[in-house]
Amino acid sequence: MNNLLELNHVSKRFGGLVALKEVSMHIPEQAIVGLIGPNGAGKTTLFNIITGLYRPDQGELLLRHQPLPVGMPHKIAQHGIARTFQNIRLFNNLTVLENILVGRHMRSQASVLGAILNTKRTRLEEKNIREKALFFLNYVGLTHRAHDYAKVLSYGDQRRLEIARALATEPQLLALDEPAAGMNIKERNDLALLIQQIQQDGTAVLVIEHDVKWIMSLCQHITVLNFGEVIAAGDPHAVQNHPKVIEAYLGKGQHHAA
Amino acid sequence: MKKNISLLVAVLLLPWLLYFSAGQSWVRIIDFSLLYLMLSLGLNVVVGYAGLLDLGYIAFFAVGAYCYALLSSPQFGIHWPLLVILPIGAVCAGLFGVLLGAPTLRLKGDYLAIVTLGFGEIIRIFLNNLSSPVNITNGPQGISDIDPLHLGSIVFNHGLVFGDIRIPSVINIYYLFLLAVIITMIFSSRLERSRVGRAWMAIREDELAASCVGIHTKRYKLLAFGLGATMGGLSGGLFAGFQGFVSPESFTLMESVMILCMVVLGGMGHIPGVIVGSLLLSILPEVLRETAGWQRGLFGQVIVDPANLRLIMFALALVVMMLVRPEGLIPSALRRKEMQHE
Ligand SMILES: Nc1ncnc2c1ncn2[C@@H]1O[C@H](COP(=O)(O)OP(=O)(O)OP(=O)(O)O)[C@@H](O)[C@H]1O
Ligand SMILES: [Mg+2]
Repeated sequence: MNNLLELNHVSKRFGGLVALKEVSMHIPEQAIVGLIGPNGAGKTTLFNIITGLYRPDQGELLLRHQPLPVGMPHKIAQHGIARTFQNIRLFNNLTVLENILVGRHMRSQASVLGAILNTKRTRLEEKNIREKALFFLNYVGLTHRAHDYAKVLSYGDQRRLEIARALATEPQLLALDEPAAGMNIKERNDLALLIQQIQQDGTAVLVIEHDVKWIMSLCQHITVLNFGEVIAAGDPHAVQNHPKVIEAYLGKGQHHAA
Repeated sequence: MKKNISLLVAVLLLPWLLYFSAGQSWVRIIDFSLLYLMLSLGLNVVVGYAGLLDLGYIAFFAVGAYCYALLSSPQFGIHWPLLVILPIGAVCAGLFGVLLGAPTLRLKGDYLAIVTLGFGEIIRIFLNNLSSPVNITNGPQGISDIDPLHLGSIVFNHGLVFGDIRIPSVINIYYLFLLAVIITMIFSSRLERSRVGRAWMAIREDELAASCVGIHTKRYKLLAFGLGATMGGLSGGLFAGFQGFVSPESFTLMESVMILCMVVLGGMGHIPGVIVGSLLLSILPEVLRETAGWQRGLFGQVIVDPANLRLIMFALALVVMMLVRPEGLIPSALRRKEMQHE
């Protein structure tokens, strides 16, 4: 299968701390790839590099064999990579619907002049934006909350809204940073179904999660990070039985105490 | 619709009612408050929509005013027509907005406020000192004998006579300013509900998340600075033509703060709120001025200077409002709904 995204020898330091060390991984087209690892392993840092919030110190990122612009989040979004955040970042004082309307930003063109003159083209586009937004609202099952403020939603609904906002950009890769955190069992199961639906609709998903059982059943491919290094990668079964993974998860704090 | 029409009729009749009941000075006060309203609408784009705390906004009003003054006064002997200089002033102010905005793009909140405050003061100080070696602004004396607002032979600053009806100058000006305000208002409300307005609000709410959905945040911030400044410049041009005189004194930090108060008091980011805030705060001081007479009548002397009384009232109003109605006097319907939920 062709690779959608490829990372080659990506490193990132924060002062003396090596957050990522020569990380190489790849995400096949239309796959669900899991990224796991203990706290502080560098998972979020890797997301931040992929989505342009940080510049890597070394290494290259290739999207369909083309170099990805580094350190420019809006450019990367335009290349088709959308994300959610570990600590939810919604537009709190906008409504649920408005949050998704914003997600349509780069799929529309209206300029200041178009807006001020309220041209026919602008009105048509606006109608289209609304229809699409309602579609994504329905997609994550939040239609009934359309006109509530984002900040009054429950935790689980906020996570779904964040996913809907990212999906509204119609990405090729959706990166989810611990989307299941803080969810109950039912919400987790629903989320897994949603992620599978997203995959079936043609978008690759990269997902970070601590719940090993949940992620093993969801992903076709898993990469394990520990102290900024990839210690194992492959199908869930192989990864689960990999000695280094077992050591990282069970021996955490004993072997690396120094 | 019916409501809108009756509102329009009321707004059109207002100056006449005031003129015959309270006299022409009150119509003049309303004229000025319309200019303040334009300024507030402009600052609302920057602060209310994009969430960029700008404390030097009056500088753009100054740029618009000085553009008008320099291009239609004996200062350089240039007397260009209104329809040319007003746009020039607005565009100049807009360019200044972008220029002064550019270095601040990385700043947020308090830091941004301090830097914009500095820029605002720099512009005023320039206007104060650009009288030598080449005399451009005429320094602290300012520029006088500015041409009145006129279109061809219609001079708004003079009364107009149609047959038996004589329209006093203050009412002419009122209608001219009202037109400018209505246009600004239509533009802002359309922007607010457009893709551009949503991008601004996304930046206000969470700049990082906004950039991750593909919004070029720097460009949209500059756009907000530029458009806000353009509205300020337009207002400044009208101000210069109305007053016939400009000097750096009119563009102090206090004015910037005042306009910010107008935007915040009514309900930031919501046009009806901005209207109420700016009308209240621009008319109230004039009402307070009247108290000097009452005080003299009551106590035989002026105990509290009305100018100070004004500041005391401002401070009190803002403190009370922050405690009782932090969302502003006229928050958007949605915000009100939410407040009831909580
Ligand atoms: N901006 C930053 N400045 C300095 N250090 C940072 C920064 N971001 C991350 N780090 C450090 O890099 C390391 C990796 O952090 P990261 O957030 O990527 O871990 P993680 O795998 O996402 O952990 P968790 O499971 O807790 O979310 C940590 O030691 C963290 O303290
Ligand atoms: Mg993390």
